[in-house]
Order: sequence, then structure tokens, then C-alpha cells
Amino acid sequence: MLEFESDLSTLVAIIIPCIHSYVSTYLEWSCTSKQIQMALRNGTDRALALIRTLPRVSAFNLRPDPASRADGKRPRGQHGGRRHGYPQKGAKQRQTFPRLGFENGAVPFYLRIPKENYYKGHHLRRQYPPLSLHQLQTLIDTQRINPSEPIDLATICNTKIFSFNPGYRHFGFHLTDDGMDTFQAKINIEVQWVTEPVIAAIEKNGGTITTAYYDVESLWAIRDPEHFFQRGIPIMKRMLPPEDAVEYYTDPKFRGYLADPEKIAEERFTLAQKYGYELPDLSSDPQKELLLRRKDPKQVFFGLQPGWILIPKLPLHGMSPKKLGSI
Amino acid sequence: MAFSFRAVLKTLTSFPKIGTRNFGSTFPSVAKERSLTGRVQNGQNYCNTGIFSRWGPLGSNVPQRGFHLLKQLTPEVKEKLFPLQNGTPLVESSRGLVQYGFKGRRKTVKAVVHRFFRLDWGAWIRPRTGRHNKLWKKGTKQRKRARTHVFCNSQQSFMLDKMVTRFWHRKKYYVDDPYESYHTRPNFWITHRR
Repeated sequence: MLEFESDLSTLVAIIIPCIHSYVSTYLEWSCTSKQIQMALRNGTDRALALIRTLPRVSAFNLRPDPASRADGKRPRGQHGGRRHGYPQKGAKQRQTFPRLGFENGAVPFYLRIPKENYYKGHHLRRQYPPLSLHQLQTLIDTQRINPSEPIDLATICNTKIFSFNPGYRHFGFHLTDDGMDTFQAKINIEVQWVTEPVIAAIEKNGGTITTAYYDVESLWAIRDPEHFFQRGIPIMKRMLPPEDAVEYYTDPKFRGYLADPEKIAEERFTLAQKYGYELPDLSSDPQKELLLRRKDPKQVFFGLQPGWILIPKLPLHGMSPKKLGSI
Repeated sequence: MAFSFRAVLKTLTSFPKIGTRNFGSTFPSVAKERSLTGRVQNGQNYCNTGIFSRWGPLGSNVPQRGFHLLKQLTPEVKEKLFPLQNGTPLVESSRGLVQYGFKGRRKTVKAVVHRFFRLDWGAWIRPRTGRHNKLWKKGTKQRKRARTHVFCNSQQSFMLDKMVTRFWHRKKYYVDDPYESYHTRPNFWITHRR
């Protein structure tokens, strides 16, 4: 009995330093009187006190017994080692299983169905991941987007909440009409696809919207501007839209960036008539400069021209200021 | 195909003469520090057109990536290495390593993609069999029914999922998609999403 106790106390002596701080904090918290602490000088008492503090055993804090797991060893010798559990002949021995969908010679299901070509031309179609007006309003309300500056792809991606992948043929965002009735922000936004009610929701609040096309290279750049600038290559020109997108991006009804501004002004008025709201006057607006700010059709970033290279403010690695000055 | 487009592209980008842009003399420090490996798209250098032509090239003092080694070579060695082009590497003579071939990766069974369509909630739809056959003896109702599209069952759907790559599992964001309303199934607890 004594031996057992001493063994237990040595065991506890091993365990206790690991969790000593935990136990001591618990003891201080639970039993503040010194007498109780004195009573726990015995190792067994301390171990029992520790066990009392631990959570109950449940499925949450159990892990499987290590011996319960079968080892993945291939059987050898007399322990089923001749063919390692596989039969002498046939598909299981030679691993020659019929192909997926094979039906023993009958015309398989996946070939029996007539052709339909649902995915025809999928590699050419452009995708526009959705961004709803409700989500946009939330981004503004949570101060992830500053409405006093023009909003474009870089602004939306910089929230680190919404992004897109040009590698998957995503060509920017489609602003959808969810949350249209509660949208209240007054913004100047540039998106890649939009529908009529969304335009009305934005222009009703005195904002402006433009739809603009970005080619794949400029999409990669504007998706992560910092990464692009670190590459140290000149800012590219934004390419014009492809043939099948020209119609959309020159259409004043969709506020295309290649449309005639005068026709867009007419369409703004027409849309206000159609949806029955009073069109806020842009010319007398104090934020007129913000709301009418547009990129050049070949410009990728606001305020930066194609052909520019951005230099980091710190000297480049391996370049002394003297050397930089000589260049 | 005798060559892959990816291999050619890689070869092109590995040679700075083709890949390098003409950059502005206004920012020579950056240009000199980083030998700018440009983008090559369809083997065409975009920077030499339009606005970039207004920016002059920096000239021969720009250390281009990989070229400093060539400059150290004697003319005789250069001639041996590049007999046709007087010290300039032949682009067509070198092909980059094709790192990602089709071997070793699963491929899509194209017959599946031609016949079935995957909805975002995981089901596959298909046309009915025999929709064009023996129409003379089918009545109006049966003809109409034959034109409809139906769901595959669970077993078939799981099999088709395995027969295509994850490209086809990925959600597609097309505008004006005719299947838009079918891509979600909110009235079923497993496929319901907020």
C-alpha cells in the first residue's frame, strides 16, 4: 500500500509540474483558506483534487485506444502472406476493375442518354460573381468601404471579403438587386454587370453607376494592386471589350463606360420617370466632383496612368541611396 | 499535338528579349534594379504598341535577366551555341519543361459533359432517351413528355460526379443563366442554404 502510494505520488510529481499553474490557480480560486492548502500536501490528495477539477469523461474528450486501430501492415509469411489477402486470380488479384460506369457490355447509362450539349461554349462565356446591394450597404455601414471615394474593383477586393478569380473566367462583379429597397448610400460605383432596377436604386439616392469592362490582365492587376506593383512592371493599358460585349458596354441604358454621356443623362431621366422617383440634380450637388469622376477607358487604376511604374518609398533591396541618386 | 501552347509560352517568357517591355526613362531606377520580365500573350508583346511606344527603351546598359551570362561568352562559343543568330538565342530551339501534363491526373469523361448538366446543389439533369425515336406512334402527350428534362437519381449523380473533374463541380456565375432558379434547392433541408 505504501509502495502504491509512493508510486502514485511520483506519478503525480511528474504530472503536477505540467499543470501546476493550472491547479494552483484553481486552488487559489476555489479554496482560499490556507488550512485546506496545507491538507493537500500529500501527493494523492493533490491528484484527487486535480481530478475533481477536470471535466467529466465524455465522447467529446475521449480519443480512441491506440491498440484499437488496426495497423496497415501488409501480412507476411504464415500470417496470410502468400497473396496478402487477395485471391489467386481475377480482377481483384490483378486490380483490373471495369471502368467507372461499365455495365457488363450493355450500353452504359452515361452513353445511353442523347446528347444535349448543355455546356456548349462554356469556355467563352464570361462569369460575373454576384454582389448584392444589401452586401454593398453592409460594407459601407461597417466602414469597410469609404463612400466618399469612387468604388471600383480594387475597393471591393480590398475589403478582403469579396473577391473573384480571373483564372475561372470571372470578369468582375455583378451588382444584384437583393436589398434594393433598403439601399441608402450615395455612391459613385463602377461594376461589370448590372440590371435596370439596381441602377434605379443607386440613382434614386443621388449616386452614379458605371459598367466597365476589364480584360483578364488588368483584372489580375486590380484584384491585388499591391502585388501587381511589387512586380515592378509598367501599368498596362486596359483593353477594349470583346465583340460580344461591345453592345452592353456602349449602351447608355446600362450606363456603359463607352456610351455617350449625353445619352446617359437622358436615360437617367427616363429611368426616373419609369420608376417614379425624383432625379437628384447632379450639377448642384456638393459632391459633384466625386460623383462625376470616371476612369479613362484604357485606365486600370484611379489616378495612375498606363505605362507608369510605382517605386516603393523605401530603397530597393541592394540599392544604396547613393547608387539610387546616381541613376 | 506536336507541341503544347503552355510549353511554347513558357519558352517565350524564359527569354528576356521577348518578354521584356520597353519601360519609361522617367523611372530608370526601378527599371535597372528589376529586369522586367514582361507578360507575353499569344506570343505578342503588348508594350510595343500605342502608349508604350512613346516611352523610349533604356538601351544596352540595362542588365536583362539571363543575358549577362551570354555577354561573358567568347564569340566562338556563342557561334557554337547559336550558329544561326549571331549570339542571339533561337527561340524555337528551346522548349521549356512541361510540368503539368495530362498523365497522372484524372480527366473528364467528355461523354458525360455532352449529355448531362450539373446543378449547383449537386443534382444532374439529362434529356430523356428516345425523344427523337418512333415519334409517329407516340401521341401528343408522350411527345411532349419526351422533350422534358429529368433528374438523375442519387446513384447516377454520384457516379457522374466521379467521372468529371472539379472544374465541373465549381459554381458558374453566368448572367442571364436559364438554369438560374434550378441551381438552389431551398425547400430541402440538406441543400438549403441561407
